[in-house]
Amino acid sequence: MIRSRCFFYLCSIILILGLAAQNNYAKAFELFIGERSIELESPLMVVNGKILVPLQLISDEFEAITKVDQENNSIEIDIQNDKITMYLGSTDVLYNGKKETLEVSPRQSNDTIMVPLGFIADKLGVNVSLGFSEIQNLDSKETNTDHESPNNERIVYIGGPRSQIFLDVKEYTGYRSTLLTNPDRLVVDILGYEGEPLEETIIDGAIVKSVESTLLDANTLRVFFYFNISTGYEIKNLPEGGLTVDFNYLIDTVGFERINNKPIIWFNASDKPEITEIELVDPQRLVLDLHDSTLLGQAREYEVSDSVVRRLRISQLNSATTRIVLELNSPMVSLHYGFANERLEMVMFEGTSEMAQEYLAKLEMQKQESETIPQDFEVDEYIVSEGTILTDIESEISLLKGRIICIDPGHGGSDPGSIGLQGTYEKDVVLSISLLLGNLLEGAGAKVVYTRDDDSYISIFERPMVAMRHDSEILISIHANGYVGGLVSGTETLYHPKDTLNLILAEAIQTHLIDAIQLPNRGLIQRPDLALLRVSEIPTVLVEVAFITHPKEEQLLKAEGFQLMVAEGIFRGILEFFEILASER
Amino acid sequence: MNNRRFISILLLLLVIFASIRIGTEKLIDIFSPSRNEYFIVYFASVDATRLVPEYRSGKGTIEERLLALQNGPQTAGLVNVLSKGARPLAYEVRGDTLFVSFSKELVLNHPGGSAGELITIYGIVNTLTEIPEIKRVQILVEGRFIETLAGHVSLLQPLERDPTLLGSSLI
Repeated sequence: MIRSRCFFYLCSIILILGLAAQNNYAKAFELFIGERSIELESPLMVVNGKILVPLQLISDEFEAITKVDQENNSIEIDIQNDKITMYLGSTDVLYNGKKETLEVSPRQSNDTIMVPLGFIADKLGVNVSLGFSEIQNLDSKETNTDHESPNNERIVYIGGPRSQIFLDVKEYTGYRSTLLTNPDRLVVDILGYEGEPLEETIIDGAIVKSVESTLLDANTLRVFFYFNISTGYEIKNLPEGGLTVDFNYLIDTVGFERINNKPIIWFNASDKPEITEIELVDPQRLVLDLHDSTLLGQAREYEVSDSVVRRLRISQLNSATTRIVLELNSPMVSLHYGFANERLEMVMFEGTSEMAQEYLAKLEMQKQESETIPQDFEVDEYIVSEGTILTDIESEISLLKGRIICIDPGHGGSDPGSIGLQGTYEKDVVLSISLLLGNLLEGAGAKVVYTRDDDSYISIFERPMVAMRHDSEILISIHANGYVGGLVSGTETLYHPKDTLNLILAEAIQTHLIDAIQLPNRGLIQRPDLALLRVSEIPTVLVEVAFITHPKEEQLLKAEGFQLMVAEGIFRGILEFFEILASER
Repeated sequence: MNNRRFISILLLLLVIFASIRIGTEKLIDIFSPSRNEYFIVYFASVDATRLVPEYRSGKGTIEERLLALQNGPQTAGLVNVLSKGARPLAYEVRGDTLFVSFSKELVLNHPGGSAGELITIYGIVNTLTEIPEIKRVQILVEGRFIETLAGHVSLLQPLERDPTLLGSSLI
């Protein structure tokens, strides 16, 4: 993958140096397969910076047997022992029967079938490179002029994600540029230019309609880029001569939504700009800077009715950067970003960037572990582990089926419990965690009893009574810790020493919880004096998930992603407890 | 080698001092303070795991101990066990049980959490049960029984000393 990407970068760099995608300038190229130079008879095609070559070239150069089925538009390529099947106009590809995705689809151009070269070369492990005869001959101008007519200066549309245009002018001393309106156009004056105006070029691309030029005076060439849409641009002068003009990505609409409860920021853009992400606190914000981008229309602001995102703003920060700002209730960072549903989607994670990284690392691990079991990870890669947990449940379902488990969310009602510096109530976050844990348990066939499932007060003596009245087998009390100073952090599980089952349960939960959330392990704490632990006659533990008085942990406790991880950790602990119980009987 | 020599010199000096102490009564006061003139108050470690003793001069009466708890630790790196602004209001000894009433700030300004709650409760109980006659402490707020300080430990009955929370060092 990396190799193919490098290859494409290499190609695009070389392309910048003067490729004429739609003209016959491809003759000027030399394609190297291994050490061998290939003479190109027909032009290359460039789509979004990716190169397509005629199918004939593949069969000639790779000694491949190619077959085109016009009925179902399929292209079969048999090379040595590999079989590649592509489809005209589709990015689907079968490589030895395995489905993969092309970055650009094969297509038909003037009765020639063009196929992406990068994919095939990558699969064959063949080193493919492009040489450019003009570049090689740049040192000696004589050779250059031998090739083409002396005045071969021209305008070349290269395209790609930034609609690049190459001004092939050899001799000049400098340039100046400005954006004008009515009509929308970019004007570039090339100074110290001696020669004729360049031939008018009709482009009709996403951004540029056409390019014209006139001589302003004897030494200045004025080039007009007429726009379909006015946008920012970037001019680079190349050491080998000539100028490239790159246009900004166009950002159209932006929005926030949840798909299967997965938060997503989406926007319509001409292509995929690079994004820098900045997290800000007090108040909590997420800033996304889209580089080399131009926002179409005015800066705007949206109210978002979401538990995490309050507002979304988009504006043009400067000529090269579009800025999206999300006002948040709790931290949120991006997980991944790419084209989906015909727009650019950024899948978000509710939690801090550290949590997101841990989460991704964990996901990767689970993915590797379950590699043997065929699972379609692409479908919902980032939905919190329901899929992965299910594999556990399948083997453990008999352990939990029909079990009655009591979950006690600490505090509630008039008793807020501990309160974080930002005003987060312990009673609220522990209720959320408890309900998530309850869902997991019910999903595994257990019956869940809650001491409270809303914001109501219940005495600490009454809580174990509720559990026992409903014949619960175990009681899990979920709390968040507190201490003065805001420095103390970590996870602890408290138990009563009167019964070893309490210790076994505490140990199982603490171990799995630490595994899941990776906070400092404050260990198991024996507490005979806690009312709930003392009164309860069934295996009971009190989990202090994290310190709500610690600023970072307060943020975590509020984040739904973290709450899910906590619930998952405790769930696995409960599973292990019943496993131990079953093995001892 | 040097260490060993140093220790032996130290031991020799100790023996000399000890013999002086036996000889003169004045020196005894300096080198072995009697319990009555020094007492222990417990404060919390910064990580909320232990109660750490701090030595104060005085007779160690109930008033002195309660005042010391109110004023907080003098050692850097120790944390007050009483909530901010909490004051002891009154006390009464019944048998071996001490009833102490604190102002409402004890509850109102408490940071919550079982760790914080245990530190506060046993900071009070362990400090006061240092007095040999006192075996149990009943914590009251504004003269009333409260079910719990922060939602974990019942305060409806007097509590005994908890040696498991005691730690001797700051580390």
